[in-house]
Amino acid sequence: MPEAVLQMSHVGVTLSGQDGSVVEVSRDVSLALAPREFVSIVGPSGAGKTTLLRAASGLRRPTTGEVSFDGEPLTDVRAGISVVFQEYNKSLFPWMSIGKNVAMAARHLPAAERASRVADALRLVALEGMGSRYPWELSGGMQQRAALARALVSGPRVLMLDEPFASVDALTRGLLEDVVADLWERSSFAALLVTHDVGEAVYLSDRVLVLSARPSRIMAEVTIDLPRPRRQTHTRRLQRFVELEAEVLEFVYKAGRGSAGQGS
Amino acid sequence: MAGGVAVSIGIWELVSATGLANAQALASVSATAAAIGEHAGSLASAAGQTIEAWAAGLAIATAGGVSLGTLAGRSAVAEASTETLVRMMRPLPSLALIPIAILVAGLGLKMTAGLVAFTSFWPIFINTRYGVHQVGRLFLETARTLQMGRATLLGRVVLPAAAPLVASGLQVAVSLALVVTVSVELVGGTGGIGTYVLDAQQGNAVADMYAGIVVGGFVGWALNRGFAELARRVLPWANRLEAAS
Repeated sequence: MPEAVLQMSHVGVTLSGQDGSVVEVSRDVSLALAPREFVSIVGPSGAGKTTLLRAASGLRRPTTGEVSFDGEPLTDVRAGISVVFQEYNKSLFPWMSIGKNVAMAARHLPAAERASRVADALRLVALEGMGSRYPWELSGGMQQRAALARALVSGPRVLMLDEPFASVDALTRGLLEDVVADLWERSSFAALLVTHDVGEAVYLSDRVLVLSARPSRIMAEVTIDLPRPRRQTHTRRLQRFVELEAEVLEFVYKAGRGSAGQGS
Repeated sequence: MAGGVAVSIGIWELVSATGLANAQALASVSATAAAIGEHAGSLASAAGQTIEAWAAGLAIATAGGVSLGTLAGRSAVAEASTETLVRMMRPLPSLALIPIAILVAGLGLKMTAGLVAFTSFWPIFINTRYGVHQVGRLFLETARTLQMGRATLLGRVVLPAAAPLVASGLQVAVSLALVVTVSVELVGGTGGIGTYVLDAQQGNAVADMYAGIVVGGFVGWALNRGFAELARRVLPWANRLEAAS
């Protein structure tokens, strides 16, 4: 197994609210993301999936434990890690065209190279020629593809996806999953996806990690041995897909019952 | 809009024609129109003086309000400490400051512009401070993941995100600044539409006085409308931002 590009060691996150309340969201989460690997994190709602991803990306310092990227401690956001958020309409800058939004992630490159990289990124997400449009002129699915282009234009080592398709309709969601699967297969980044959709996690990943209820730890790991390339129309029909989905789902339900039993 | 103006003119004509109001107090529509035509030149130059003082004061207020508002909005400490200042200074009636302003700057454009700047500073400052303070968390986090430095963050994210609120502060300031300009002219006799109206009233030229008032009203409408149109063109995302948050 090659050395991990991203490693979380015994990470715990405790959030303190403005009213003085303190919530221990996660406790002792460890995971290693190998180069080019696709890993998903699923878990019952409230398990702190998004908080963990924020810690993994450098947006938030963990309360305990350590995150390292490329063998170095990660103390802040840094080049090489891109993040796509769920709410594209609060993440794409509405005062910039799609092209300028994408170019912001490549702004240190010389103009000519930047322009060609932006054009390439837009083509990869099937938004060719849409660079001069504004985010609010596009559909939700197109906006999220633009956010993907912005995340990938810098050639990251790790792409982090925080519930990226939760704000679009089911059909668009399937199409976007295939966009991501295709981009991942053709590029060389590792991906860390946080989602509450078990089918989506199984469909896209090499490994699925199941979080327990709060304070969360990783309670199960399921290796997804489905053939690639994966495509909605046939992958989801495979007997093996159905089995894996059921297996992960069972862990998630178990985790959810744990939280209900504790009454938190 | 046009309908409202037509109805107002109709009522005005009705009141003056029926003798409901004293002819010494209310000129007829036609007499006022004639006065506007007759004194078009001096009315235009009075309007020009008014707009000059208005623009000078508003420019100072905008520069000060946007820059200080941005500073205050970026830091919770600065926001809290400027709040007391805002509560103390904002209710001060600017006309009560005229004597001080005359002592400091003498009678003239500088004094008028200074008072206009003082009054219109507050809505711009308060709106900018608020606009900068409430920039969406995800916009800021996105900027962080894109490794933006301070200057890039301010110029490409914070100010554009705050711009719609800054613009509504400016929209208030545009009207407020004109009210103060004309009031100072009316009290201080420093020239412009206000002084034109004052002179006409003291010279018993009632139609002329109304001519000044009508021109002043038109100037106010035009500046307001012009600014709203400008904001709409420069900030096409303004109403989309609200929909997103």
